[in-house]
Amino acid sequence: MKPEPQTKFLKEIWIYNRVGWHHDPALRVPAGLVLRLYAATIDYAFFFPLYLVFRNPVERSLEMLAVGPGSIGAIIIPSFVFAIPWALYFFLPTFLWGKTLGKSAVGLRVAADRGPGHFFQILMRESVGKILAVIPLFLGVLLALAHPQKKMLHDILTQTMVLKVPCPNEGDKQGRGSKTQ
Amino acid sequence: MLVFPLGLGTKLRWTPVLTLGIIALWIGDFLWDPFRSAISEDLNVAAAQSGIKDTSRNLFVEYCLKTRGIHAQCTEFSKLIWAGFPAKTKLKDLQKIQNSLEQEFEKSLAFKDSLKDCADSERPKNCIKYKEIFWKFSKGTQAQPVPKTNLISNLPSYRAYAKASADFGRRMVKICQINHCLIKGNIELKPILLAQIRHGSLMHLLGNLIAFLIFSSYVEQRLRPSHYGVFLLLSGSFGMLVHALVWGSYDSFIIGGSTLVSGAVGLFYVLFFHHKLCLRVFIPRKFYLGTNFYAPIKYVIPLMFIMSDIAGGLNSGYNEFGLPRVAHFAHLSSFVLGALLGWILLSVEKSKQRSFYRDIHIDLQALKRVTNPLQFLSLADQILSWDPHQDRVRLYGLKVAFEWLAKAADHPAPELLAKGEPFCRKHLPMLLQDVSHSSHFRKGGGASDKISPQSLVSLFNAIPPSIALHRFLPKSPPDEILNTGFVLLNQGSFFNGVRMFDLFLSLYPDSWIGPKIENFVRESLIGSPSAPIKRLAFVKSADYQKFVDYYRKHPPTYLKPLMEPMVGGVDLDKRVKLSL
Repeated sequence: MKPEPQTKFLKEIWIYNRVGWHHDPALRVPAGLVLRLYAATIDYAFFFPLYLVFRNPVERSLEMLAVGPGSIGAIIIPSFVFAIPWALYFFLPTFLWGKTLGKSAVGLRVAADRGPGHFFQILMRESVGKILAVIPLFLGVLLALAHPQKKMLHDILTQTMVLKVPCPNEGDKQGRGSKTQ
Repeated sequence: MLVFPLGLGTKLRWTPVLTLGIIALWIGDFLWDPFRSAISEDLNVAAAQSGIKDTSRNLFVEYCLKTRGIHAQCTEFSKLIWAGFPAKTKLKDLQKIQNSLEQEFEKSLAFKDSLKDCADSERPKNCIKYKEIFWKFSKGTQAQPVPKTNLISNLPSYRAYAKASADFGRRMVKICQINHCLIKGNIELKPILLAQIRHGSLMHLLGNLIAFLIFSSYVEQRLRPSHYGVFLLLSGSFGMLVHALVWGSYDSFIIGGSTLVSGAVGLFYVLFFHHKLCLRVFIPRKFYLGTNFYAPIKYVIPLMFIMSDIAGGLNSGYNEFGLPRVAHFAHLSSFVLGALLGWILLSVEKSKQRSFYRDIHIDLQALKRVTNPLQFLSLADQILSWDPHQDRVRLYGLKVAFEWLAKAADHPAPELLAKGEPFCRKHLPMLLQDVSHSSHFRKGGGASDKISPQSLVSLFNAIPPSIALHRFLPKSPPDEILNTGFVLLNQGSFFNGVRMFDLFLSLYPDSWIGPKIENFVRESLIGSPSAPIKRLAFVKSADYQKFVDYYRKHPPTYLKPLMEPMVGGVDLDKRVKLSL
């Protein structure tokens, strides 16, 4: 027998999945430092060539124009050059999908503490927050070892956290998550 | 920290004979090439006879003194001019020349931009101006802007230098015509083919060898040998040709199998566009061989390989200084042609199946021929280790395994449990993952791209109610369980849908969606005061018996207490009789 059409229930399930399980407090598992380091390693392996594509022509142009190292142009222009690949690789994917390519490969995602992540929240997390976390000898990063929710400094400042995507234990070849040797 | 690509990360189905053959050819050529020593010898002789080294050194010293005025520093740096040129040693001792050549080559790597010839440049004024800008001397001092004067006309040695340079170029072309090496003045079929086999150094060979092995092995699995060989040869030769024609010069040999590697990467990109690349990531936290992660090929190849070549090409490949040391644009050309050929092949085949290999149907037929269930599961497991995306094989294998497990519940059979249970534990999560992430599901409730929703229902119907699903799905993501439950419920498979939701609540009991699921199950099984369930019709249904079995035989779950009023506290046989 086919049950009574429960369209309302199916819609609720559908909406729950569309909104994302990461909004469900019961399902949130914070990701540790090691997994995040793996994700960062992959991210920078992808980001660096992209950055060079933007940087090299501009750097060459600056040298041709004989822009000295102390001038304002030598500071401002490279900053803009860095901002474009940074926005393309780090900011936009994090804002739109909650993860970069590295995080996706490792099985992590960024989520706000409450509700969906706002534009400004993610912007500050990926820019100022990360700079502040890295500058004091990576102490802001190592904070994850001591924090109960494994948050780094930029997570605390912008009220976000990195969650571990639940993954099947084995047979996860070609799938999400990791398989530690 | 290190990231190293490892291909698709699956087992190879066949030995990649052609790939290994090409690698053997590379190694053989590297160890024994009759032209190799002849080229080195002739090159050294030509350099010495043309006087290019001395004239370029004089030019540099003169130029340096004029703009810098630091004699010792300029003389020291002048030794590094013209990478690869022999030192001024006696021609009798060729070994010394060779050693000196290598030493100078190594030293000059750091000054690749500043040690180029401006004679071939279309704009020598700019060339020499840029050269001045890029000369970063040992202490990192910033070069002063060059005065707007014609430096070349002010350098008396420039004319001699340009003459020697042209002479050296002519000699190089002659050498290459005799020894079949690829250079701008000697672009023929034989040099183009030979250039793809020759390598300059051991590191050059090893780098190409590893990359070629990683990517070509999988491409060879996917293509016919004839297609593979022709595509590789075409794309590799095209890269060499483009580089020699567009970016070549008369004084630089073009060698290396990297165009073959790039062609293979292009083919790999198109043929496995929807798959994931295995990345071995190493961070120095303990002694270990790294950890595997998987990232989509459609993003990884452009970011890791194409961007590197574009960045390298922009940095050194297309500028006023002439040739780079790495032929980045040759790589890009080969990649583009390889990808184009792969795309044409896919279009001709009209193959929409996302399989690693061509013979997906042969695999299925081979499976159907196997009658012994043990052999069936072994073969299915082996096929899936070659190609994890063969969802039909996974589905058939799971069906057989669950049928076995059902029998094993009644008649204990150790061999069935030993084989069937690991198979289910390994492949059921992957099936759920494919179902949940398929485009069909996102469009509105289908199953996997290769599995129809009906097939999914038939698989779940084959799972006996007594078997606890959390044995096989202990860590499945919540969205995958819910999506599968959604598909099953949408297909009218009420029992299986409820079973998936029960699994979800058993794994994630505190979820937000929990009360809604509970409410739905309660209303469906027991009914509510406002809308009582049609018990008679429900008891007659097949789902009812499944619920009874589930309640009686299944280990405790989250939703089982809800079923108790329906099936638990009543004599079920009597109830059925009454209702009938």
